[in-house]
Amino acid sequence: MHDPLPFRDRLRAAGLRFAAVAGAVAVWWAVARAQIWPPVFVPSPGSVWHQFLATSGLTGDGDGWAGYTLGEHLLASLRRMAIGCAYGVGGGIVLGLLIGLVPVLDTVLGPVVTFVRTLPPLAYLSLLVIWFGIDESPKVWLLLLAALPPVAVATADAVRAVPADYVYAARSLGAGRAQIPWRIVLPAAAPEILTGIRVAVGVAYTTVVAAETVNGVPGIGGMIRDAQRYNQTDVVVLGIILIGLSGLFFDALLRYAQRRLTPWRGRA
Amino acid sequence: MPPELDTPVRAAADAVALTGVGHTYRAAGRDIIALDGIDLSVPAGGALAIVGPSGCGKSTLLRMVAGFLRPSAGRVLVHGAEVTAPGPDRGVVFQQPRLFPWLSVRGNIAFGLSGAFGLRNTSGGARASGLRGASGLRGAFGLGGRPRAEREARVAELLDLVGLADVARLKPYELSGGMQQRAAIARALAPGPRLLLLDEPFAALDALTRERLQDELRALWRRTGTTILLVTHSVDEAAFLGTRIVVLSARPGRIIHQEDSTLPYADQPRAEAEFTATRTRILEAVQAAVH
Ligand SMILES: Nc1ncnc2c1ncn2[C@@H]1O[C@H](COP(=O)(O)OP(=O)(O)O)[C@@H](O)[C@H]1O
Ligand SMILES: [Mg+2]
Repeated sequence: MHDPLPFRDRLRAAGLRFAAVAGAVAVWWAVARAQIWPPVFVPSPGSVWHQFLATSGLTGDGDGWAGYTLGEHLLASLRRMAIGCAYGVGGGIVLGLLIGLVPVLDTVLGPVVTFVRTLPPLAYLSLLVIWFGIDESPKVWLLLLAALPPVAVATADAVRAVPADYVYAARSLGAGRAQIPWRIVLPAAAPEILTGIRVAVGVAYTTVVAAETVNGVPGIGGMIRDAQRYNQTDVVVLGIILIGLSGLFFDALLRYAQRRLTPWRGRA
Repeated sequence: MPPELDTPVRAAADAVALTGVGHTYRAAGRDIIALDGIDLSVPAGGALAIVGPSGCGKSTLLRMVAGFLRPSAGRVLVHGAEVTAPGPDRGVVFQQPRLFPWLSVRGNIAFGLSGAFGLRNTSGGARASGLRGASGLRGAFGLGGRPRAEREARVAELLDLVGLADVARLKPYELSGGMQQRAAIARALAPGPRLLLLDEPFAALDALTRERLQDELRALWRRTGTTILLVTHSVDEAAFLGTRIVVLSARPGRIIHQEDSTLPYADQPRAEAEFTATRTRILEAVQAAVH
């Protein structure tokens, strides 16, 4: 990982990004304006902005979408993702430690994790709905199942790659066998585990809309699906942009956490 | 008092004793005999230097004494007890410093002092190594006294010992190679080991730093009385630090030359006439080992 950039370079990068976004919006605006496709295919930036103001309750002429404001939709989705990711990450770390430390478990559970990881979430959503109904639990379970495998795989790989000399050094310093996972393996594997968590949060993001296709209101996914039914393309686009932006935000947050928590990544 | 009690019984006891030790690796269905028929001993307080061509089994030998590896044949005794696992009575310094990057220098040195274990061992170990000042600490706080204060004092003492007090808060990767190896030595000394095992500890350093650290290691050994087992491929280092010098043959490693030396007790070992003579003898043995 490279060092934090000097202020001037960061400013330049920010300027570049802003210019790119502005350019993309301009192209979008021009295409919508030219009316090559009807607005139901390509809504204009203006109407999306209008929907943003209306659904978020920032202007008086709107009362949200499907009975909830934009903030409530977003919060419902984020809450599901937070719970699903928390369980998925926790379970993934524990599972990964077990798989990485106990060869028998690797043989038994390794293929199971890979199997679940390769399934598209929608493939087992129906099963989860049958099992858990249509309330919160199937959604949280879906996010959990999506977030767990990347963390488990990253953790197991990192655990197997911990230099044996770290363990030997610790044992020579009086650490007992039972202390090794907590005092050595986990911190030594932390950089890769955090990368696994970033991947997991990304996967949860790509899954949340699927999780909310069944009874997903409130929720950004539910809102998008509802708007699609009424051909409200501007609301669909608004939902997509919102998911993308909040995804960017949380990834930046996790990258920051990674820099703070494991500053030795790539240096030791 | 009967006269026989005056003879220093402890000094005569062997800190390390290997009898008929061999080790065979199994790799890709092939047996690799790394070491064969090693008989070796180190008196308590002595410094054994093991020299030999690379791949002759020096690290294998050290790892068996450390308890990382079981011998395929023979017995490895440390202070009279058979080695079955690693333990805080044997400090280990690796060729790569292998400091824990998630801990500061201070945290690394304190690693071996944490928990109930560190408490028990600080006093026991301090007695064994005779580290200056440690007995004072023991007197001040006692065994069940103020563990935290005792621990902190011990870390401060070790930081001073290796001259790293100024960088105690830094992370290992923020230090130079020489400083990292100093920190590794301090970490290994923290639990108060009676035996310090070093596997080519200075091989990766530049010549100037290497010589300075050799001086420091010798001073430390003389001050603490810790028994040292040093693996090296440097003939100079062996002559400078070894009270007993052993040369191993190329694989499978067997002892082809062994001699005792008093050079490490001299004020300026490198300036002694005997230094050059010892170097020459070892060099000849090593050269004979290579082909
Ligand atoms: N884990 C291992 N598996 C197979 N062979 C090994 C292993 N470790 C070391 N060896 C072999 O055993 C011999 C001795 O190795 P080592 O003790 O590391 O030598 P040295 O430290 O003297 O360079 C070498 O030839 C090496 O290739
Ligand atoms: Mg070696």
